[in-house]
Amino acid sequence: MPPDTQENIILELENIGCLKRLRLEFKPGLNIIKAPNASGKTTIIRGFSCMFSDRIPPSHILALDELNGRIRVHYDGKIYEKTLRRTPSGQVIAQGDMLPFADPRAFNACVALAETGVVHKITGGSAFFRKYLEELSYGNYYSALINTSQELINEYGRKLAGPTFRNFEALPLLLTELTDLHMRREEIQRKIEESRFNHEAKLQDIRNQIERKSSVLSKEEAQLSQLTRNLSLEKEKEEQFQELLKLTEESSEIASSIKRGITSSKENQERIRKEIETQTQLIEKLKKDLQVLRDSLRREEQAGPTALEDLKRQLENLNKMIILKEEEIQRAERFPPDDPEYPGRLVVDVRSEILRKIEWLEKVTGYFQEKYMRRMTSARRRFNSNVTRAFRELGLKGFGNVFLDQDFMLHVMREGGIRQPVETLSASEKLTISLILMLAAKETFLPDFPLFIVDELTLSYDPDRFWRIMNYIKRRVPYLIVTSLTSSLTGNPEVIHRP
Amino acid sequence: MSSWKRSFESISQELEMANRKKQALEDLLAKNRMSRPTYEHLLKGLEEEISRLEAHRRSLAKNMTERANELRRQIGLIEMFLANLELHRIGREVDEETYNHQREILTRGLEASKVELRQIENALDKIGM
Repeated sequence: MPPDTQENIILELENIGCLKRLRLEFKPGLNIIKAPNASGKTTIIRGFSCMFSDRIPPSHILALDELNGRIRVHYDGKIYEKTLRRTPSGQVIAQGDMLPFADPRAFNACVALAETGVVHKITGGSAFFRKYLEELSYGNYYSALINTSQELINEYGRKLAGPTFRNFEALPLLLTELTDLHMRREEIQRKIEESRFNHEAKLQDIRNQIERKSSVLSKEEAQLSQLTRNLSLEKEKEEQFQELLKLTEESSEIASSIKRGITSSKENQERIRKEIETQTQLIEKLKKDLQVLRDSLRREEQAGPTALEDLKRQLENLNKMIILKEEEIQRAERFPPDDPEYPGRLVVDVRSEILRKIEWLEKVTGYFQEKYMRRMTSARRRFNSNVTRAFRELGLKGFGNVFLDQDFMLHVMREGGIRQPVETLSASEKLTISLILMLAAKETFLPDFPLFIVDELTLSYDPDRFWRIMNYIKRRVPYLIVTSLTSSLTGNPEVIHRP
Repeated sequence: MSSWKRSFESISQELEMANRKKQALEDLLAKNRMSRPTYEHLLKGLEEEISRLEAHRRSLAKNMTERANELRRQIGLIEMFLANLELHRIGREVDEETYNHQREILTRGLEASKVELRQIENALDKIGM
């Protein structure tokens, strides 16, 4: 509605707080609600504020002894009405209309009650305004999305740290252990082969020795046979000589010759006997050696390769360990069949699904973080610019500049560039800063909201400051409503209009 | 032990272990002890490790080749010094004691260089480079 065609706003309250029934009319410009203490000035503002949003009102908004109440506003030729009802549980339910310019942020930017955001903050000495600006600039939607994404990422992160995933992550280690077992098995197999080969070589060596000895023995036995035959022949020869000697005259030359033959034959026999004896001894020795070798062969054959049994046992154990390790690996790659979320599923599949989700959520977080940063930076700049303009135009003594830094912390600079902590400001200065910050917030985020309401906060102001600030606000807002204390002790609230 | 030798042995062992792990992985798949997706996931990690080790070994082999060339030059120089020493001896320009002393030093250096060169060549042969 253009300022020159603005109409009066009529507010009607019924059973609101301590007010049974009240009708007030606000005109464009400054409206001062005058009333004594505890006569319902703050209630009027709280009641009026109910029309700015569809938020659930506090239960004390309705008169404590009443079950129903009503707020009605005449604005721009129409009537907007909200009815309040107390439920058996004591809650208050509101039904009905909102004003056409309603905005839930208005309570924080356009209604300066002692309990509202900025006033409460500044008077409490707090200098952090991130949340305040987040709410007004809708940056809180982005931060809610960012927090939700982050929460989901954390939740997925916690899932990935669960025991099944930990077992899965240990698979490379299990594979290393399995490989190590394979290598140990190969080593044992190699030792077994080596032992068998050595044993076979040893047996073959003994067999070869036996063969060689047998061959030598055969030759020596043949030699002995020959010697024995030779001895028999010599004996026969001697016997023949003896027979011949008997037939021959003893003194004859033939007899002498035969006797030499007999002597020679006896000598030969003696030599052959000695040779037989030596040969027999040699054969005995060979037989003994052969027997030793055969015994050795039998023993070796019976004993088998050295340490083979032990090696076989080791091999058997290793094979069992390999099977167990393979089973461990097999178990590690799947969720247990009774897992409540992923029964029997492959961990690698679930893991990549979760990682994809995390990746997507990180993108979402990054996207909204960028949006949030842009929005908040822009909001802070516009807010600071409106605050600076207000201070400049008001020309309030003592203040150089008031602004929010990039961490949304409020800085109050005195003339001469001296920074003063918020908590050390005087009560009226805190109030002035609160009003200017609220007005800056309204102009930045709710430029079309036609009302600005100040509740009794200006009591500590001197008349000059009061009027300077009120006139400044009045120039910027179609309807300025201020509550003020009257000197009388009784009476209903009434509105004094200052165009 | 030379630093190249230590690195070469360590990397060869690591590479052998990685290849054996790959073989163990193949066996698990063949025996149906592992699903293909898990196999592929682990194989990817192993192949990355093998590639990294092979790249490291290639870089090491390059350094070893450079060291081998340096040793060849060194051997050539020592041999030239030895020949020079012999000429000085024939020309009676050095006394016997100096000759023996220098010859011993040069021969020892030559042998050490040849041993190291042989070790490098054998190591490079092993990896087919």
